[in-house]
Amino acid sequence: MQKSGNKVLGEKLKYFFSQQEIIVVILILIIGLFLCFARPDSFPTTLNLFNILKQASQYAILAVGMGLVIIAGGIDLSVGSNIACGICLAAYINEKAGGISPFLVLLLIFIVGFVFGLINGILIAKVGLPPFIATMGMLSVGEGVALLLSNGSPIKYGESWISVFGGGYLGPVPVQVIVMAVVVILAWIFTKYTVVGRNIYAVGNNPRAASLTGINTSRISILVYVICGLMCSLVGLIMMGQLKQAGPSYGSGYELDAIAAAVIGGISMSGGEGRIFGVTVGAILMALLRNLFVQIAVPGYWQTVVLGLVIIASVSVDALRKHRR
Amino acid sequence: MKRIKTIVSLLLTVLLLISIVGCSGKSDDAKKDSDDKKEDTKKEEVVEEKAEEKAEEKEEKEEEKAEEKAEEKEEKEEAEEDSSDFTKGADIVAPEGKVLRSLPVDQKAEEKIRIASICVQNNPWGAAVVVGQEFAKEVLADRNCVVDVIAVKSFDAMEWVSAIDNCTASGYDAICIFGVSDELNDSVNKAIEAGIEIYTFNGDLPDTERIAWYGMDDYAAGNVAGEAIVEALPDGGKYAIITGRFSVYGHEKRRTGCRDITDEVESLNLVGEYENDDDADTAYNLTTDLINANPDLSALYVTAGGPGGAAQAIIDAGKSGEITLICHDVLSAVADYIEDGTISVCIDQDPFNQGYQPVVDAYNSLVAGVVPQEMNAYDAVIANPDNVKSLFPELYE
Repeated sequence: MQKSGNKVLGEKLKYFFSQQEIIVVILILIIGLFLCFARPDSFPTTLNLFNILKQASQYAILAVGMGLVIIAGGIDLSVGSNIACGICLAAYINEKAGGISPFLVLLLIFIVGFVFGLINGILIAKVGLPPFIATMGMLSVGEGVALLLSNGSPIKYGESWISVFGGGYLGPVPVQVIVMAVVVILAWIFTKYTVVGRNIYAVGNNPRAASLTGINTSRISILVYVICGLMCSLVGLIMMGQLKQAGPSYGSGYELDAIAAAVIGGISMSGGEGRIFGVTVGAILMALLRNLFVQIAVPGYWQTVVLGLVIIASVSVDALRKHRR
Repeated sequence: MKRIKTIVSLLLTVLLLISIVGCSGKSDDAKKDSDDKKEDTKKEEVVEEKAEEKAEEKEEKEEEKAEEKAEEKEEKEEAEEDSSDFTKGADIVAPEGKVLRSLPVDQKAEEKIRIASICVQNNPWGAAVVVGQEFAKEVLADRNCVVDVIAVKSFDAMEWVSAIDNCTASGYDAICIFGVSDELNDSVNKAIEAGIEIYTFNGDLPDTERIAWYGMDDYAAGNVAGEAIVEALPDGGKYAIITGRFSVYGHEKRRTGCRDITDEVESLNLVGEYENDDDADTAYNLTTDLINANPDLSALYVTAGGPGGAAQAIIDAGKSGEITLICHDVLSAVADYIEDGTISVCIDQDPFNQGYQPVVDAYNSLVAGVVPQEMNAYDAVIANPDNVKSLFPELYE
C-alpha cells in the first residue's frame, strides 16, 4: 500500500518536474540565489526585485497575447509596430488638438490595438494568408504609419492620470506589475475555465479536428489576434506613461522578446500546448537575465550570447520532451 | 611706159605680198594676243572663281558666325530664363536655427540629376538628418535635380548594403550614405565602378574612393565625453556606458574615444557597458538596473540614441543632479532634460548639415565639377543647462 503510495508520489513529482515552467522557476531561483551571494547589497532589495518585475511586466503582458496566438497555431510579428502605431497616433492627435482627454488617448490606443488584431485575424482566418506573412506585412504598415505620424522623432505626451500605468506606484509596487498580475490571472482563468479558452488549444492542436467538432476556428483565430492586439495597447500605454513620450521605435524588436518569453515558458511553437503561468515565468527569467548582466557587469558582447543560449536551451527542452513521447 | 607699168605693178605686187606677209605676221601676233587674252581671261575666271569662292566662304563664315552668335544669344537668353526660375544660392533661406555649410551653384543641370540620400529614420537623430536631406531636396528641386530620401530600418550593415545595391541598380548619379561600418565597402566600390559618386556622413568609409565625408569625428566626440566625465568626477567614482550597438563603427569610436580618456584616470571605475540599440525604453531599463546595482553611480555616458529614456530613469530614481549624464545630439526629445539639468552635457554634431551638405556638394560636383574637400569635420557644439536655450532657441519655442 505504502509502496503504491510512494509510486504515485514519485510519478506526481516526475510529472511536476517535467513541466518546463517548473524548470524555469528553478532556474530563476538558482540565478536569484547566485546574485544574493554575488551582490548582497544591491540585488535582494525591494527596489531591485520590483524593478525586475516591472521590466518583466512588459514582456509578460505581450507574451500573454503572443502565447495565446502561438497556442492557437499562429504567430504575431506585428506586436512591436502595433505598440508604436497606437501610442504615436494618440500622442499625435493629442499634440495637434492641443491636448485631449486622457480617456480619449487611452481609447485611441486600444482602438488601434483592436484594429491591428482584427486585420491580422481576418487576413489569416478569412483571407487565408500564412500568419508569418500577414503579420509581417502589418509590422511594416504599423512602422510606416508610426513614422509618418511622428516624423521619426518622439512626440511629447507629458503626464496625466493614464501615466500611472507606466510610472505609478502602489506603495512599493509599480502599477505595471499589478497590471501584469491582473492580466495573467484573467488569461489563466480564460484559458483554463472557459470553453472559448479551451477551444484555443483545440484549434492549435488540430484545426481540422476542431472544426469537425463544431468549433468555429476562424472566430477563435480572429479572437486570439485581437487579444494580442489589445495586449500591445496595454504595453504601449505603460511605455508612454514611463517615458512621457511616444516614439516610432518604441516596441521595436519586442516581438522577438515576446516569442522568446513564451517559448522559454513552455509554449510549444507548433501550437496547442503551454500555460499562461509559464509565459509569466519566461518573461521574469528574461528580465532577471538582463538584471544579472548589470549586477555582475557581464561584458556587452556576452549578453546577447547568453540570451540566445537560454532561448535555444528552452526550445531544445521542448523538442526533446516531444521526441521522448 | 609699159615698162613703168610693169615695174609699178611689180612693186605693187611686192608691196601687196609684203603687206600680206606683214598681215599674216600681224595675225600671228593677234593670235598670240588673243591666246594671251584667252589665258588672261581664264586666269581672271580662276581668280574670279577663287574670289567668288572666297566670298562664298566668307559669307558662309559670316553666316556661321552669325548663327553662332544667335545660338550664343539664345543660350544666354535660356540661361537667363533658367536662372530666373531657380532660387540663387545666396537667396536660399536656411531653416530657423540652422546654418547652411554649402550652397548650390547657380547653375541648372542640363540633364536631370538623381541623388539618393539614405538614412535611418526611426530615431530622433535620424529624423534630424532627414530634415537636412529634405531641405536639400527642396533647394535642388528647381535645378533639375531629384533627391530621393531613402529610409533604412536600422544600423544593421546588411540593410545598408541592400539599400546601396538597390540605388546602384537604379542608376543614381550620386549616393549619400551613413558609413555604418566597413562591411559597406564592397557595395560602395561597386557603385563607384558604376560611375556613381559616393558621399559619406557621420561614419566614414576611408578605404573606399568616396568623394567626401561630413560629420563630427566620433573618436574626438568620445574624447569630449570622456573629458566631461573626468571633469565631473574630480575625486573619481563609478561610471557606466550605454552604447547603441557594438557593431556600429561610429558608436564604437565614441565608446573607445571615451574609454581612452577615462581609462587613464585610475580613480574612475567603469561598472559596465551595455547595448540599447538606440531604444529609449531599453536605456530606461538599463539605467534603472545600473542605479540599483550601483547606488553610488556618478556618471553615465549614452553614446547614441535613447538618452531621453536614461534621463527619465534618473529622474524616476530621484537621482537628478547626482548623476552626470552625457549624451549626443541636442534634439527635441532631450531638450527639456538638458534645460532642467538631468542631462549635464550634450554634444551636438549638426545632424541637419549631415543630411543637407553631402547632397548639395554632390550636386555641385555633378553639375559644375566643383569637388568638395575630402574631410569635412564639424566642430562639436557642447550644450549644457546654461547655454542650451541660447544655442538652440528653435527647440524652446
